[in-house]
Amino acid sequence: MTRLSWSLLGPLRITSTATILMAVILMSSACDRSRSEKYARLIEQSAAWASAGTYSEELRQRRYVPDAYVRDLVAAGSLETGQLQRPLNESRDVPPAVRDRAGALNDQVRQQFDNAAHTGLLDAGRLRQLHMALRALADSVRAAR
Amino acid sequence: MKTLKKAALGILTSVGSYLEVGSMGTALQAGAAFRFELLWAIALGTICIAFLLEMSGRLSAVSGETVIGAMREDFGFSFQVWPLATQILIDLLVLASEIGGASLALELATGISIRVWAIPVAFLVWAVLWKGTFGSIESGVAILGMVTLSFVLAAWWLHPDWREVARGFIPRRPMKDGAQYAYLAVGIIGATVSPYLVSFYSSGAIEDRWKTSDLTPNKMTAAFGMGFGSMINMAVLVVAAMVLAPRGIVADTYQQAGVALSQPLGRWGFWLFCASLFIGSVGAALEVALDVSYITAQTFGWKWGESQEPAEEARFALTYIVAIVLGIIPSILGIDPLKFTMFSMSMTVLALPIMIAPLIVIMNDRRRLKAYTNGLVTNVAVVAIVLLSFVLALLAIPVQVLGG
Repeated sequence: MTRLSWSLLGPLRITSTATILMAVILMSSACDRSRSEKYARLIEQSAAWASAGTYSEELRQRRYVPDAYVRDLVAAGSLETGQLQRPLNESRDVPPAVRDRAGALNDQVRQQFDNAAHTGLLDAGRLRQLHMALRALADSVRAAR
Repeated sequence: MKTLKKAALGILTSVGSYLEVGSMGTALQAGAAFRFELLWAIALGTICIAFLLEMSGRLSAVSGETVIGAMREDFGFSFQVWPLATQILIDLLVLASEIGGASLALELATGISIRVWAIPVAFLVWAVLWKGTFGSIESGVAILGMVTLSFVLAAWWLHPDWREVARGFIPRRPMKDGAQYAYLAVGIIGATVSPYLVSFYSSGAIEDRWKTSDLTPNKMTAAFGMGFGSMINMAVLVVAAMVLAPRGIVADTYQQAGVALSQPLGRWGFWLFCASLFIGSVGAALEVALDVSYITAQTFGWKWGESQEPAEEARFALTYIVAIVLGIIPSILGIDPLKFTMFSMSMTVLALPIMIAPLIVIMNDRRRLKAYTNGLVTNVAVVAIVLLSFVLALLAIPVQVLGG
């Protein structure tokens, strides 16, 4: 073995150990997802749309964002919350009461976006309430793990 | 003085072209979901890419060969076909993401769908490549890319808790949703250590006619250019952590993230966000489309060079035209650019070992690099990066399934 490769061994051991450690952290993190965690994330996605709607409406009123952007957000929000409805309604990972509540709240968020698509106005107050209800539900799902 | 000027230009180019749809999207999602906890992934990716760029620049400056050319010479055409096929596939995915990112920036600004914007964006990319030279594209992207510094300004204005920011540089298990944490970490590293950067940088060194006298600017560009560039990406993460995370906006789409700069930068914020996304994406699309031509031409031994007239190198020009046409398909189909980007980042990670492992042999070849072969530090770095790329490739699919 050449002198160069011997001198490489020490630093290589250290870097290999560091790489393996990082892989262990990432892999153990990746595997640490309970079913309720997965469901909590779905609820948070719905809550995020409610919050994004609230915030962008506030910014539109201050003329910080153009109407075109809010219209685009409304269209995307309606589509994405519509896609969330099925996994929220059909999941077997949480008790039926939680599932029903999450499904109903998400449906109300979607309705807000659908209404805004017709009227051009987002109800920031109602969306804020829905956001808080969904966040509280996500926290309770996580806590019940 | 000349060396400093060259280094400054190189650093400016690296900074201006650092941010693109993938790095911006992953940093926004990471900041929104985990605040500062994933800063280490950007730092790690930046160290890796800085080493890889320094090596590929050194190879070109000393031997006058590109990484792809050297790979073909050392391993033969039958070996080279596999990395080529893999990298073309990855490049096409990234190109599609970038065209989608630029189109989405226009959609956010105008409300008109990315399906409509995809073709004008692709036309713009083609026109710049067709009419421009390597130098003009390089400087144009660098100067326009300075708009992305608005994220640094915004991060500074937001006054984050710097101790908490510093803690983000140490990897640790997250408080919640480990699967998404791992998925984002792999995505960030995939977005930062893009194989196209290595082959593009090495081809660029040949286009700019680098010699051994350019090794110092090369080192400075790789270290400081990537270092300052990563600061912009970290600033994106910090802005998302300070603006989006407290509001529970998870930035799953760019529509949600479009307001990230509005709090710190007021009325300018939204437009600067759109401009950063557009310019960053178009700049990267130009680089990736060129890279497809570079690697194809270098593998098959065609004449290549962006500074030549297209008629003189018809196959070279035809290759990027085909790549651009293929790259608009996902946007025309209306596929969300951020979701597509996250997928292409995972695929990038999967292909990383195939692209990087041959560098261990190439960079230690004394016939080619004479006195400029890898030293202890660079050899340890390249072996560590190859190891890391193998680990990430193994993780890419499981984390995509569990956390994506």
